[in-house]
Amino acid sequence: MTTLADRLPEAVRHAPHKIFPRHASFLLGEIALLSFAVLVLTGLYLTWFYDASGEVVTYDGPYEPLQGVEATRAYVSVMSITFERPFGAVVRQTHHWAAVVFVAAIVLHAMRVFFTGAFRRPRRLNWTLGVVLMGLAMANGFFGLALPNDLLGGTGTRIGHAFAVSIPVVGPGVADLLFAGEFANPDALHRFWLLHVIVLPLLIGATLAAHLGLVWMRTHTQFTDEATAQSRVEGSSGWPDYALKTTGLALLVFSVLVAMGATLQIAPIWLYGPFDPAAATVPAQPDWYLGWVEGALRVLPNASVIVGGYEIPSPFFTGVLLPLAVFVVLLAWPFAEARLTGDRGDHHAAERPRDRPVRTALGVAGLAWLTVLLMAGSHDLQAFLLRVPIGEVTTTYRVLLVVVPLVAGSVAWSACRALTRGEERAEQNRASDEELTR
Amino acid sequence: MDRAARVKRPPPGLVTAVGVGVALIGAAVVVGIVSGESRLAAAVAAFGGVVIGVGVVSWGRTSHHEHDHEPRETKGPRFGRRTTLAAAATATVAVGVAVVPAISRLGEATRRLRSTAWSAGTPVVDAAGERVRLASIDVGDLVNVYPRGWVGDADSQAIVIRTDPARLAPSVDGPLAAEFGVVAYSKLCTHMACPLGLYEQQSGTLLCPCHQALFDVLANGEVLRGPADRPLPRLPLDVEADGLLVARGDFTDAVGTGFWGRP
Repeated sequence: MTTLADRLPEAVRHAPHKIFPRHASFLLGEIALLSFAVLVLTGLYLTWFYDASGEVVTYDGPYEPLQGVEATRAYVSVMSITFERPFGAVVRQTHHWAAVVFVAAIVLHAMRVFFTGAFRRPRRLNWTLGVVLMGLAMANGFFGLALPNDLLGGTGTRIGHAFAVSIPVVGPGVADLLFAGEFANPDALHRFWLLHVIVLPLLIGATLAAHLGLVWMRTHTQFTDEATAQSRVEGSSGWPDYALKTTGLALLVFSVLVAMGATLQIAPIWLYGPFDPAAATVPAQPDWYLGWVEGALRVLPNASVIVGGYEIPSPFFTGVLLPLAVFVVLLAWPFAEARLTGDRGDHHAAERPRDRPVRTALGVAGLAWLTVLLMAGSHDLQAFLLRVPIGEVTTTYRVLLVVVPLVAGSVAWSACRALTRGEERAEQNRASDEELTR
Repeated sequence: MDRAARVKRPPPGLVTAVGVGVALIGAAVVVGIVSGESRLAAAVAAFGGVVIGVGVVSWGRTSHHEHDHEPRETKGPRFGRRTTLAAAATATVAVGVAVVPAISRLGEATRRLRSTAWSAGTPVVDAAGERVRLASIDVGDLVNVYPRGWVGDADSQAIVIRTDPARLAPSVDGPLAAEFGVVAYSKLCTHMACPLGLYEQQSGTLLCPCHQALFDVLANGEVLRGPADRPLPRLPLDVEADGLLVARGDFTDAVGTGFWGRP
């Protein structure tokens, strides 16, 4: 007799027996996935009540300090979600926190994959998809920040518009398409809404499905020797071990994000006020995952270039070319490394960072550089708190951008060498001890 | 051995955890809807979720088996030259399709970026839409102004500053500068087009709140400190017989951030 179970696809019938990773660092990708689920669920609630309209109306809701203030319908609808809808404030803050955690988990997950060499054949395609996902997540964050049409979000849109018009040849046309004409045209909100709620989530969903499908087919890497890893997958079985742990993790991620949304204030648009083309918030910092671009804008030397009588303005280099270069390096890394090392074979063993000192040092140096840029994104606040002239803070950051990556990379390289040498010495001692006892 | 049989019986602690968690969530949701204390309710519900989550994770950990394994098979498409070329071709076509409409708008978009609503004879009004009278601007004042009919317009917004004419650099021209010490600039920073907010009257400088560029309003809006690299465009002003301000034309340069095709 054929039961229902027999008719299920092979992959599903195999799932309880499939081997899943056990090492805790493999949960980072799952945290990203679960945060995305929270984003979709809370996003459905938010988009139900959100009004992507730039029409200007007078706010007359329950938040007294803004009563009588003129604002777009978009802003007023987000105010209404926050102050009038059941659980609205919690859902909105949970959504924002989930976005912050989503990108953070993606970045940490990418770091795990990078430093253990898990991007090598046969997982290069999946690394590529992962980098694309990271870019899509950051882009969707940018449009999401713009949607409430508050003063901070509007300032972010202003920066995005300046990037777009700076692109050589097609810039003004691209900006016109994306921002519905010149900056501060409120019709742009509708386009941002389409991108944030439909286009980018669909792209993220499709890429994510391919990413997970490939993980399933290619299997995960493991901390064993390469020979063992080539012959068998080690970890824990789908049922019950992995299923229970992952269900628990899902509950924890959902609960922690809701707890953050309920208790930690984020994006208080009622304090920022509605967008006004004649004003900007002070200080103005974007969410952390866009902060490094903000830092580049502040401290990198302005470098407008005249090409054939046309000007390429400096925001193109700091705001467009630099992020693009970072993503190109990430995308190209597995292929460049395979070419440079001549190692084109399949690998299933996760490497220890210390066993690849050059890769580890370069990775640490790159991360250090991005961290310095991220910190430079709030250099006005630091100048204010330290009572140092802003020009000196800028100069300091220019020096740090060169020095910190060099130091961090060298320290990482030396640490790798010291760790492996220590192990070699211990191995020699053990060998000589054995010889002596024999 | 049947894997289902390997699940250990849930420990009594887990049963308690799930019970407590579910009760907390249920109570919190009901109380939250009834009382409107939604943040507190959500925090309590989340705590309930954490209790259940910790219970389930620890159950999973107690029932796991050290070093389970299966033979390795890697399936799925390989990332060869063909996949790379196909992906590159798809990306190129996608970018191409997106760029076509952008190019078709290029001329119109560039024209709009180059000009604002100011032209010769446009009356100068303040944020309330009232015409600005020269005599009503005192030395040390800064007035936010717009072309009449365009109050609130993002790229036409300008600032009129009045200072002691002796403080202005000799190169500052215009009929109102030498006699009255009145100069006008675009309000948009030439770095990223943020509105310049902080005017320090004593030093005659304007600071951009976004990336801290500093401009000298006494010397044709020259950049005193980066990251901007272009002086503020000036708005040429004149005064009519009745003492009201008018523009003598559009700004001396395209306002705001740099763009491809800026004259």
